Order: sequence, then structure tokens, then C-alpha cells
Amino acid sequence: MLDGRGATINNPDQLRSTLTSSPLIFHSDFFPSVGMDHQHNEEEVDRLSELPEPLILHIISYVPTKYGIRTSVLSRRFRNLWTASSSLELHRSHFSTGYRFIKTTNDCFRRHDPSVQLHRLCLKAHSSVTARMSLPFKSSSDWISRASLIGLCDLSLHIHTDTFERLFPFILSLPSLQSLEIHCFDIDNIRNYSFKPLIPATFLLKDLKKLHLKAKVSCSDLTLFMAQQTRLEYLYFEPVLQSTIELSSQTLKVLKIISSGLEPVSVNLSFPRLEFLELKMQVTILLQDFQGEMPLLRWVVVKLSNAIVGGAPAIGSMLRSIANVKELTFHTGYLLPSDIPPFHMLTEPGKELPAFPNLRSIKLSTCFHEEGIQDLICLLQNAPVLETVKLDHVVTEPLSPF
Amino acid sequence: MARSSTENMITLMSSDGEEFMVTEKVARECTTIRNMLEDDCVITNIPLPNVTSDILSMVIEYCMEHVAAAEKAAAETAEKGSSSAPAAAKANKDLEEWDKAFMNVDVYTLCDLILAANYLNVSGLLDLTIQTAANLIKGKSPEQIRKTFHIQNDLSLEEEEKIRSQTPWAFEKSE
Repeated sequence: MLDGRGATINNPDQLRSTLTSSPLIFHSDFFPSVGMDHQHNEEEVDRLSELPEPLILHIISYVPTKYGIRTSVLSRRFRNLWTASSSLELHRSHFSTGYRFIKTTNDCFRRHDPSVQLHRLCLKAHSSVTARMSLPFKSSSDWISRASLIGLCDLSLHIHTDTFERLFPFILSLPSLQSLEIHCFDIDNIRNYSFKPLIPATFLLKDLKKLHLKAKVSCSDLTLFMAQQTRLEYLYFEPVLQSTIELSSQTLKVLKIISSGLEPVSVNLSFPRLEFLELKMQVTILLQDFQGEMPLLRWVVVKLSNAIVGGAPAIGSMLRSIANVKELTFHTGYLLPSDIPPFHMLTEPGKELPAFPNLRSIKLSTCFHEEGIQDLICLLQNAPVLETVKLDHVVTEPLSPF
Repeated sequence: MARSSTENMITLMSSDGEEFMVTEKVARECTTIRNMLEDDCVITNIPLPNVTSDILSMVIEYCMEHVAAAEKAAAETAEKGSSSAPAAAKANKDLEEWDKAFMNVDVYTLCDLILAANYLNVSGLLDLTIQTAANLIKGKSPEQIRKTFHIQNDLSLEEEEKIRSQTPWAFEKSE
């Protein structure tokens, strides 16, 4: 389990001896009986402190380090427990200055018990006050390499684009990572990107299962990266200012793409094992073209922000690419401009809708004027096993993004 | 697993002597029980002296719900001729909603469920309960955490001050 950064994974020996193999019958007094024996004074019972230490540590590993440290003063039971947590999560926003953030993170590494596996490291460098101050490369690479020496599997970084570009080659040299999240929070403010190749020909990071990228990475780089992954199952990708989203992977099962921008976008997806697809296109994007090779696709969520005259051909080819779908959620978008005469959003003039042989459930949000109703009738006729239909009528956008 | 084995019934006995008949498939959701069944396949009656009937019935309810959901997904996958397992991250909203409602319990029951999930080794339930407990700690002051879990502070004022002074930033109100 990817997110199972917990006692079962981190301290297998300790846990196994304590729990799994503890004889079920003979050592019943080893554990306090689980249940509500203390009903007469439940109000006073502190059941949390009664939990075995690995379980308390498991809970602490699920909260940001700041709150993990806070548990230190709850009682003697909790004193300095956090130093054996399998996760460190530090937020720049918890500190008044970047200097204190770096100093304290260093301190957390220094105080962390080196005999305990550090399964997860999460650094959020975003600060509302001094948004321009980047995380220094030296500190961050030092933390990551220290963590990788004690078993890092799950790395999550919320950083500036410039830090990302400097750190990425280093991250690619970490073979133990199973989950990687890169979230560049300054991406929305950057215009006129040029994409330089970030992925070298050879790198060590090959066992990734889960990848979350909101970063300046070109689709060709990302496809190259995915081609080297043997176990990648999950990709979340927010491309930046790319007019062509062309991606492929042999292993991926779940794909989420969130795209925003002002240019028309062409999409070309080739995923022979993909089962779940989520596609969100925001603001004024026009879906210009859609090609897809996804034979195993079962669940699809498509949300377009605006329905535009002339968008039907791309939507038609998208529907053909996902025709095997079992459950479909489709928001065609708000009319833009809102006073244009009604038009067919789903069907191209002179072309049929594809057949949906497996479609059992559909949620459709669109403008059900006469043309919309005609489209819906076509769709219903082409879906022989449809069981549930949910319709939402939308005309104009409730809240303008501008 | 042979299909017929899913029909086998297992009796689980709680610490207070109550018996619960479950299918072997549901019982196998508990890795601890699965290991016992694999060691000794004729076993049909399993005493669980560490789990009371209230908590055991909740664990069984959780396992039944998740077995049913997995069976449904597997049936659909087979029907479509796909060889791969259903996507792990497929947004199974119904089950998520069910889990959320299931976690609407008091902190005592929550801690008991953590112990039982750990003891019976039900990884999904352990993750769910640990996450729920973590959410009760996140964003709270030490005083609020103590109140939530009824923790008695046995540290002297000096001891507490000393711990706080090692990491003063963690006790600042910055969020």
C-alpha cells in the first residue's frame, strides 16, 4: 500500500513479535481486552495512551511534524515519541522566516531516531508572506539524501519551479522511491515557458508506483520517464502551457490530467492498461483534437469549462476513444458566450455518436436545449445496458472566473 | 482460492463469549485469521480473547462491506474480459462514503478499533482508523488534544516547559 506509512511497514520485526504472532489464545492478558469494559467511567478513560507504542507512532506519522511534536507534552507517555516517527512533514508556513524553517528542519533531522526508517518526507516550501524565497538547493538535497539513507519511499515536495529544476536530476538518482509528488506552486504565474529536456538518458529511479506532477515538464519528457518505469500505476499531471498533451505508458492504470490555459489543446493518449481517466480542462481552453488508445478504460470523468461552437468534432473523437467506458461523468461546459444560439455539443453534423456497449451509468451536465435533447436521445439509443442516468441542466456559468 | 472454499463458515468468538458466524472469505480479510487458516485448514472455531463483541461486530461489518465491494468490482472486471485488477485508486465513492460514516464513533471505540484492526491485521481498517485518529490531533493545541482523548498530564510544569523549549516553534500559533 502506497500510503501505508505505518507501523506494519516500518517496524515489521517489532510489530510481528508484538502482535501478529502473539498467541491468540494463551496470552490474552498481554493486551488489555479490546472493548467497552470500562463503561462505568468511560468519560475518564484515556484509551489513546493505552495503545502500544508502535500504534501511537503510526498515528503520529500521519500528522505534520509540528503536531507530532506537540504530542510530546501531552504526558510522559508521549515525551519525544515523535522522534521515532516514520514520517517528517514540514511546512514553511509554520515559520516566520525561511531561515527558521531551514534551521528547524535540520534540527528535526538531527533529533530523528536514525534507527527508525523514514518512510516519508514532505516539504512544503510555500509561504504566504515571502512567496519568492526559494528553498536552497543545498539544504533540500541534503535532507532528501539523508532521508534516502534511512529508507525514504515517499517524497512530496511543494516547491518553486527553480528549486524543482535543480533538484529533479538528483531525485532521479534515488532508486528507492515508490511515490513522488512534485507540486510547483508558482506555476500559474509563469508565462512564456520554454521546455528544456529534464530527463537524462539514464537514471536510477525506476520503481515508482505513483507520480504526481504539477511542474514544468514537457509531455515528451514525461513519456520518456514513464517508459522506464516498470510499476507505475498512477499519474496526476498538470501540464503547463502545452498545446499538445501527448502521453503514453504501458503500465499506467489511473490517469488524471488537469489542464488550464488560453490556447487550444490537442490530446493524444496511449495507455493500453488504463482503467480510470479524469480530464479537467479549465478556463477558456478549447479541446481541439482528441486521440486515444485506452481499451481497458472503465471509469471516465471529463470536465470541460466551456462549450464552444466547433468543439463537437473533438468531443466526438473523445467519445469514440472512451466508448468502452462503464461509468461516465461528463460536463460539457458552460456556453461561451452565454447568448450564442443553441448548437449540438456532442454530435458532429452528419456523424453518428459511437456505440457505448458497456455504459451502465452516466452523469451528464450540459445545456439541454432542443439540440442537447437530441444529442441525449442519440446517446441513450447507443447505450444498450445503461442503468442510471443523471442529468444536470447548465446554461451560464454561476461564477465567472474572471 | 477454490470457489467452494468461499462458502465455508467460520465461527469467531469474542472475549465475552459471543459467537459470530462469518464466511471464510470475510474471515480471511483479517490476516491474523488467514494465517491461522493456512496453518490449520480444518479450524472452524476461533476464539478472539482480545476483542469484545461490540468491537468484533464492527470489524466484521467492515470486512463484509469491503469483501462485497471487492467482489462487485471483480465481477465487473471479469465480465469485461480485463485481466488486470480494478484500479487501486479508482474513486470508489460509495465505499469511501461508507468508510466515512463508519468512522463516526467516539474516541474510545476508535482506539478499540485501532487495537482490534492491528491485532486481527486488517490493513484497510487499520489505515482508516489511524487516519481518523490523526485527524483528531492535526491542527489542535496540546490542551485540545488532551481534552479530546482524555489524557491526564503527568508532566511537571518544569518538565513540560523543558520539552516546549526544545522546539518552541511547534507550539506557536501560526495557522
